[in-house]
Amino acid sequence: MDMSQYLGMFIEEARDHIQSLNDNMLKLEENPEDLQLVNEIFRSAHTLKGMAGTMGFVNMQKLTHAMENVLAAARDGKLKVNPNIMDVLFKTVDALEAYLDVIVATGTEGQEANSHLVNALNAILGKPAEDMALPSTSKAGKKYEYDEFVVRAIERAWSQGFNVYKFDVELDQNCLLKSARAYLVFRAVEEFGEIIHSKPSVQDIEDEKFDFEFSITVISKQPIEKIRERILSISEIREVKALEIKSGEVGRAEEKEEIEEVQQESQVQETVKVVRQQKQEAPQKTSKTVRVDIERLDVLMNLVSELIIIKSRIEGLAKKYNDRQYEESIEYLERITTSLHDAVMKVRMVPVERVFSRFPRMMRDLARELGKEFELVMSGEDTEVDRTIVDELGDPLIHLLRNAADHGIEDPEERVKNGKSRSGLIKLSAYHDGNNVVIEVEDDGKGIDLEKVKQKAIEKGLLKEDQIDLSDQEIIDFLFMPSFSTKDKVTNLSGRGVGLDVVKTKIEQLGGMVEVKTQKGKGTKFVIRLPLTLAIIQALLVTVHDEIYAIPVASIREIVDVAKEDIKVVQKGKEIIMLRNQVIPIKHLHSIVGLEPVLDKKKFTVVIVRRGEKLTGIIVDRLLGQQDIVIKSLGKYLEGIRLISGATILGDGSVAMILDPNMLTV
Amino acid sequence: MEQYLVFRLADEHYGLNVNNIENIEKLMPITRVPHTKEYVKGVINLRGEIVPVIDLREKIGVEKKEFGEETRILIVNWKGEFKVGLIIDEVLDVVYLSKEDFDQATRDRNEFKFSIAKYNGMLINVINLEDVLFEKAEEG
Repeated sequence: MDMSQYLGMFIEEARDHIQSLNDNMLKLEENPEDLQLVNEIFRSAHTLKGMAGTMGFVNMQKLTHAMENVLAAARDGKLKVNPNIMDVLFKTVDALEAYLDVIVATGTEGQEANSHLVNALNAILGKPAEDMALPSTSKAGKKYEYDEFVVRAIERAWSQGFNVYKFDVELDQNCLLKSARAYLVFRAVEEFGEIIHSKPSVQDIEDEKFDFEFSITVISKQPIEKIRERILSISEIREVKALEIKSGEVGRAEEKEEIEEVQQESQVQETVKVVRQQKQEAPQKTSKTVRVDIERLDVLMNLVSELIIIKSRIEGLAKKYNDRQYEESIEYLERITTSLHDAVMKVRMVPVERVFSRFPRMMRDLARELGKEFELVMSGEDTEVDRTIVDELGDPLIHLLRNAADHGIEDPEERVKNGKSRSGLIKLSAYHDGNNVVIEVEDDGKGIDLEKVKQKAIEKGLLKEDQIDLSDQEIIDFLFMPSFSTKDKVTNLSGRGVGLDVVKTKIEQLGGMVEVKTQKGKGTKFVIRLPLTLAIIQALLVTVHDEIYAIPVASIREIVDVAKEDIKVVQKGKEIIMLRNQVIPIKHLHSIVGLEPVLDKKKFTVVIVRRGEKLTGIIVDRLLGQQDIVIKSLGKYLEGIRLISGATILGDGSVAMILDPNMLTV
Repeated sequence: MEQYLVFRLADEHYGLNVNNIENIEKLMPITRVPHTKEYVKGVINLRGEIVPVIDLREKIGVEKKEFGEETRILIVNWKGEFKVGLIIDEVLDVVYLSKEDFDQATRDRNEFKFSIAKYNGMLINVINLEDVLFEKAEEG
């Protein structure tokens, strides 16, 4: 059977289960006595096993099965979880995640059997290493296993003189409409007796959720061969294996598990039903949320972008006509496009929890690895950001968290010596601030040793020894320089080739910025500020010569006209202006983009852009006005131009470059 | 047998496998992108898509010239990863070339290697797209 159509669903759900395994196991580690948690973990593992089995991922199924056995023992009180067991379980979850990654990449689970983990799990239960068989084939020597209900029906049948048969039916590989074929088999068999059990369930067979084989258990007074022949007479049946079940060969499947199996099956059926109903009826009847393919959202977003471009174009044309009705229609169009844009944006918003959720586990491992004690406190996980941003956020945050754990938090003894609590605290929080989302990584560790940073900068030749009057901020900026590390020893945590410079570049690519606040002995705080969305922004269009550039409005402080004589030249030709007693360095956009500046003007238009606290004035020729622009990437071929963060298509179809404000500031 | 687009740069014939070519466009407004290589002329708006354009003459070292009536932009697609427009002087023909049409010799010019094909008395410098799109290591 072609399972590929379910692959997406499987991956999504498996991810959820692996995440909840991680979450609950972390909780369990803190409260090893909590049976509720064990139960929940067991359920996730159990469901995963079932799902993997259905999809034909045998190795994954075996591994989850071994895991499930350990959890079952813990649940039944036969086993006490200890750190060693937890370690094995965590490794198992990692292995499951690895399977999932392979499945995502290739559609198959790969060759890795993870037998060492299966053995380790079995060893916990005291099983011999080679015992990897599933219990359904090894249990109690019974040939056939059914649940209580079916066993009773079988026993009753015998007592009434019926025979019990099991038919394993194999359909022809070319068989289309397998469910219809199975239905014919069912009907044919029912001429002779009663079907009391089928595997897979009738529902699954109807939904074609089976390969080319299914088996049915039948009670009948007819001879077995007669029924077999009747089944074989149906076309496209390849083989029918007929077995008579004799008393003593039937065992009851372990009740508890079987009940859960049944529950799980009914859950699966429900979702299937929901999907079907959605197809047939209006969707709001069955479910309030719908999982949508990201690509479809991207298409929608692109269409909205096109609409906004054409809207600006029509607005431009409208200025030529002075018709009131025409203007009103345009205004209406404007309102609709804006609402549509907002609506699509909202659909694309996802909670940062998507990235945050993997950190508790990571920090646990990190604490063990580093031999440090700290707690990770997260807040604002439900803060929503455009998914393009969320997807990119993982790596920078991992780095900052590692940084906090590795460089920030001191060893427990040292903390106690300094009058701090033994265990450190790392806070990860997210919140909205106007049109921005702010993410903070804060630790209560030793803070950044500015003196050390300064020494290092001198060592690296970035700073001359006589340059001593640097502000703290200027010293901190060195940390963001490529290949700058204050750690003398390269551990396997840091020293992976990623530094703060990578974090900074990434965040800036996303149109955001990073700030650092640090206090010696008290701790460090990294503040990341990001726009809510990347796709459509408000921009100021400016010209230099005959070129048009867009500057994101979010980074503009103000626009001022400056008389030529108010531009002062200081230190080796640097131009500055004074604005309300603040010195602001000035740059000509012409020079920035490689054109000749126009110098013989009486007045200059200066756009003041800000990056954090820093302000820079940008001289432009002319302002064209403010408008919504759609950010388009320059594509892979031109990637790496740091000054330009993208391009946009203007109303008249021409292209304008979008300036990266972070690169404009001095 | 594979199909090649034959086009003109200055007074020579060049060929490019048609599998690489997505479209042939007339010259359209090109927006300069600061801080790019000299031969990168900028980007165009290709029906809503931003596509970089490079001047093939400059890239492979044929003397610079003003664009004319026959100037075209070949939109090529690199393995589905990105599109680039190549500015050429004139599209001439689409021809089938088989292995026998190719000369043993290759021609080097400014680090570019061309396979030489003979077709109906024409000498065609067949371009390897990879050479055109990517910088040689020593160049940067």
